[in-house]
Amino acid sequence: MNSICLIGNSHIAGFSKLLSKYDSAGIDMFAAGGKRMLTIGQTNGVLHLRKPEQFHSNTSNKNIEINRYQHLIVYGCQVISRGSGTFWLNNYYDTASLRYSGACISSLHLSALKSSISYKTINLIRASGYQGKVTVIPSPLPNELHPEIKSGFGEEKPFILRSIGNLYTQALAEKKVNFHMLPEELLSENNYTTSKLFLNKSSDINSDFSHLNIDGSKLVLSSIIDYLNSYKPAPI
Amino acid sequence: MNPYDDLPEKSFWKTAVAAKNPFDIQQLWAPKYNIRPAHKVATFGSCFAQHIGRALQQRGYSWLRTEAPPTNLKAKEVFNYDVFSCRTGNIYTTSLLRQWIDWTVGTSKPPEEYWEKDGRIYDPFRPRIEPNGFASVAEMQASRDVTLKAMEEMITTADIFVFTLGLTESWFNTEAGYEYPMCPGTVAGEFDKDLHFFKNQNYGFIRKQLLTAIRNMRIINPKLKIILTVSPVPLTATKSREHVLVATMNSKSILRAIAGELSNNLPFIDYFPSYEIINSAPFKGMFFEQNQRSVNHRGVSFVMDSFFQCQDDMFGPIKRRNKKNTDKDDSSNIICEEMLLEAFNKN
Repeated sequence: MNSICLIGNSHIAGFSKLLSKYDSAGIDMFAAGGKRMLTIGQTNGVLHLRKPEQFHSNTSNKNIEINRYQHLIVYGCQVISRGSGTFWLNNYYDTASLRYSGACISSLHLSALKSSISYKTINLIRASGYQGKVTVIPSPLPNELHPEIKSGFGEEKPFILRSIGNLYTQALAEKKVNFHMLPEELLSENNYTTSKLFLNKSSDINSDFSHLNIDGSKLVLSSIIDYLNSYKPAPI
Repeated sequence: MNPYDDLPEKSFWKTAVAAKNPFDIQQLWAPKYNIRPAHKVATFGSCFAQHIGRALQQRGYSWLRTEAPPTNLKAKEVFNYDVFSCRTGNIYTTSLLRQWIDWTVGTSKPPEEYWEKDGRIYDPFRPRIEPNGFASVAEMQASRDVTLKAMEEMITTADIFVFTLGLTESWFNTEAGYEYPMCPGTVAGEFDKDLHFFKNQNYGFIRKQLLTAIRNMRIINPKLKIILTVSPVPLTATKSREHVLVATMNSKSILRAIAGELSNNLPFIDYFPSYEIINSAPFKGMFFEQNQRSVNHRGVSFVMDSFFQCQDDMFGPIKRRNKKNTDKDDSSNIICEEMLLEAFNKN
């Protein structure tokens, strides 16, 4: 049993191949694509996978005995939830950029966060009474934009990743959860989306703008390991 | 024979009212025009107008909304989206309506005044539109410009404009003559007795303001039809020297008389008697909450059922969506800035 548990969705896929090469990281992984993450339940401090066959793991466990881990990382899991046909921040940054107030957009971000799979997973963890450290890492980035939106999003427009990051950090802190951003090296030159260099080239970029390739996964995993090394947990 | 011999049952109190269960009182409205689900209906005015927009939506009508919230915003009513057709907030008086229309059509420009409170900026003309104010004056002005554009689109595209007349009591800027929806110093801003003055509007002033607003809208959209209602909600507080109950009856009587006169004399203006349904004696106050001010959901439901029943009686029944029982029926969701005045009651 490792001391760190990584719970995530399809965005974890790049890591699954890498984890064995990072044995020293000591990470157990449980991942399921899309909304299948929502099939996790919680009973008596144990997260149970209602459909374990839909989960990928580098362990043989059918449940996540979270109290045995010092650190839980919820990775990906639609920090911004998928809406009906609309996605991410499309509606926040239409060409009439000042159509909505900052407070309104913040409220929108918060309601999106609170309907996300990440947040629902956190609620399960907190309901279990888990006392260890919990971290959420977003993927895609909260400010990822569809290409058609990017075209209407001029360079002069304010870059809002930092303010969203602050908002999420604050909201998650209320749940005693850390919010850890992806590394800046992952961003494109104009700093509002994942650089194409790190995207899965087999994907259709227009519909999949954020699944990482092996280089991107290495970058992110290194960032996670650096983050973990900066945190020295007390022995259980 | 005399002129009363041929009158229908509804013309006689005994048969139309006294002999009936209040819920069976019918034919309270003889609508002038047939409102079909395809008609674009805009709603503005005092708090009670919000019920009409919601009822239209629930029954599958084309409630016109020209200022949409961001998709997926859950707290849209907190930010005053989908409360009225545009994000104007409550328009309590006919002179405020005229002011909004004048700004929209360009007859006058919004003043540069803004209010500041705890480091946040408030729009004097929509003081509660953002629950915690705006981040900057520029954001406030940009937001109001969006609303004015939405007003323009509303005037251009609406088939029917529903306006609920709410108050006669109002506050103006002494120097520039513009009107505030709320007395400065209540929601935000600071009251200055030299800069702000109280006006309890009279019949002639209110009538003129309303007719001017309607005329300016119909210059742009000559086919626009108007439905007036009077809010049955009493005043939260009065600045007049009268008792608040007397002041309420005075205000509502003036507004009711104007709505009736315009409806009687102009073919493109109709009056829907929601005020009478809620307020008149046969209903024994049953449609009010315990504070005897807020209208309860049964009252709202009865008023709106009457609205659609009268349409059916006049023009024949049409297929419309059954009303959904949603939390939107809950009167507690109604946004009424004027209620804030109760906070200043020190008794």
